[in-house]
Amino acid sequence: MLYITAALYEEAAPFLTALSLKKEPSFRHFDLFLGDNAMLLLTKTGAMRAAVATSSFLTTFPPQKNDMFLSVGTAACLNQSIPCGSAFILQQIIDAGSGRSVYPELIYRSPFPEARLTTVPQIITSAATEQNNASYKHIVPPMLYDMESSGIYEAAIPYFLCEQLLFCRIVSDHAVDLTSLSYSEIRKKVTLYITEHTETMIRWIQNIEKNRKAPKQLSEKHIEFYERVCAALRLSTASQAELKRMILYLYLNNIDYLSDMEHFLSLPLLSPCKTKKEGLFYLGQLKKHFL
Amino acid sequence: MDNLKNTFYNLPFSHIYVEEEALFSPLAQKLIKKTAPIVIHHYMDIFGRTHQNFSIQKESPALILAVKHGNFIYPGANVCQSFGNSYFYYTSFAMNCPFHCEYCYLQGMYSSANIVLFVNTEDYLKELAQLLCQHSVYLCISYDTDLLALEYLTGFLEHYLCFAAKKHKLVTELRTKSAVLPSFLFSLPEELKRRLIFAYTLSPQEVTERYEHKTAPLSARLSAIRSAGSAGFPIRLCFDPLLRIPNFEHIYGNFISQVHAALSNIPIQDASIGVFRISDSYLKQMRKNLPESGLLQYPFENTQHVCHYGAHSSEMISFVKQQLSNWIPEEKIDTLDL
Repeated sequence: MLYITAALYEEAAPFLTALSLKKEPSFRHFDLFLGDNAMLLLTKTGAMRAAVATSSFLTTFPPQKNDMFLSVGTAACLNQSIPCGSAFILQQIIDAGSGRSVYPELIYRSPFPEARLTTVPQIITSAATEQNNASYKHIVPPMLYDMESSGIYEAAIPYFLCEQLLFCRIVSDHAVDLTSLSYSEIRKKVTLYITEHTETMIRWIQNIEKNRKAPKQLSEKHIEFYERVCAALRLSTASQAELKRMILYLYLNNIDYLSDMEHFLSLPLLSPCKTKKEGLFYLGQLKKHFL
Repeated sequence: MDNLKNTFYNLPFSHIYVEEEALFSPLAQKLIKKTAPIVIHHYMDIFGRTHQNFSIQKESPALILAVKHGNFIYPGANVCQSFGNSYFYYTSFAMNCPFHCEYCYLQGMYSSANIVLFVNTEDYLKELAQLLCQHSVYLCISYDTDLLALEYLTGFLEHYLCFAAKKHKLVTELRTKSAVLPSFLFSLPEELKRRLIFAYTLSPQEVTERYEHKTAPLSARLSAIRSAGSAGFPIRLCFDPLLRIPNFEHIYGNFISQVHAALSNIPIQDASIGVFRISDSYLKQMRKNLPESGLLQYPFENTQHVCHYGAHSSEMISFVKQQLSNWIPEEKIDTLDL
């Protein structure tokens, strides 16, 4: 399952279409859209609101180990040489309020260049200037500005491993060029910029989902056999854990133990142990035989 | 599969995080010529993040360049073999290793598979010089990492050996699973060579292939040992950890014969034997990191928070010791049993 968050409907619209997502009315406090393999949440603007919405979303729909999370949206960039519509993956998210930085994992090869981003409490205006005067300024990638990323990261990280979180931002303005446009024109532009990259983003993440392998686990046949043995030997919780560890060890090492163990335990499997002591004796014999 | 890995993940060290404090160090300046760095405040901002996936990070580890503060040289721990040296110390110029051995304790010790390089090597050497003013020092420089495998990136070993050349009371152990021997090693003064012990960890090829990912194959390690031994470096063979695998005696018996045949003409200073043992808290973390590892899922016995193979441990050590003693005198074989 792919979890997506976007602040505004205009940012989400291309994903709703591409992934055929439908509004889920039962999720009452926030706008949620569901599909077969994806869910999209509208967080509204602002880091606090985004964190609250994301947290509620992930608590209601707890992610699994193989799920991915994409935070998508637009951002301002003060560097005029970077054209509007340019897409970036974030390597650093700075919370302007606290000054704290977080670093999304950059494990997967990405079709987008990297950028840093500062989450600010208000829309960046033309009066804003880059605060970074450090002597290494020339070697760092562009800085973008948005109003949600730091909140989304903090809300999402308890539910995922670092490498499951992806942050993509598309430059919507240079903090000056949107002021002359009407609100409906701005909305159209935002959707247009995101649309240009939607297919690439989806293809990229689907490829990640496809190639992230789920860890090998005991199959139903082995679990069923383990449960039969536990019952037959009247094992305590601690002894059950010991048996499960042994079966997992044999299974992961491709040791064909099933028929051998079934034969070894033919008596108690036919007529279960009367006491726990008797069961423990068999468990000890199993350890001697199979380890 | 390898092809998939090449396109799916970023290349190892494609990302370099550099502490502001380390940014203008010679090593950082050398490395960031090729890759634009991500400037960070403190290495723990990356290395100590919560919810990292150790095994996936191993596919594409990042480099973190940092400045170390506090202590630089530590007294050797009791669970490590001192080989009879009174003043046994270790140091870590780096945290983590480019290899990925499934049994490695680093998976339990660190939450990240990224590699931290401490750039302020001069501070290490200053503390070591002070120690050497008091007494001789036996120093292990490749704990918690594989310094030789990282030498192509760091140049730490060459820098360290320039210092060590003038310190005649310093004996150094360099532990490795790498088969690379940088050319500068061969032009070192003979006296210095005698004080630099190459400690090679060896395992049967079956174990290397299955559990010691990204390490050099056994044949390459044996070839490197021959080169180092012929060049005059003392050689230590580390058969540690022995792993309880099916057909243990057959596989380890053949393995010792293979090592003997390959190194029969090389003087061996000593050998160490140890079975796999790990603290229970580390094992718990390692099992979480590598849920598919058949090696780690073994139902170990737990004695005072150390997980081990129980009675099998002594049998395994005895077997390998007996095989080795056909070739290496017993007094030169150090064993670490539980």
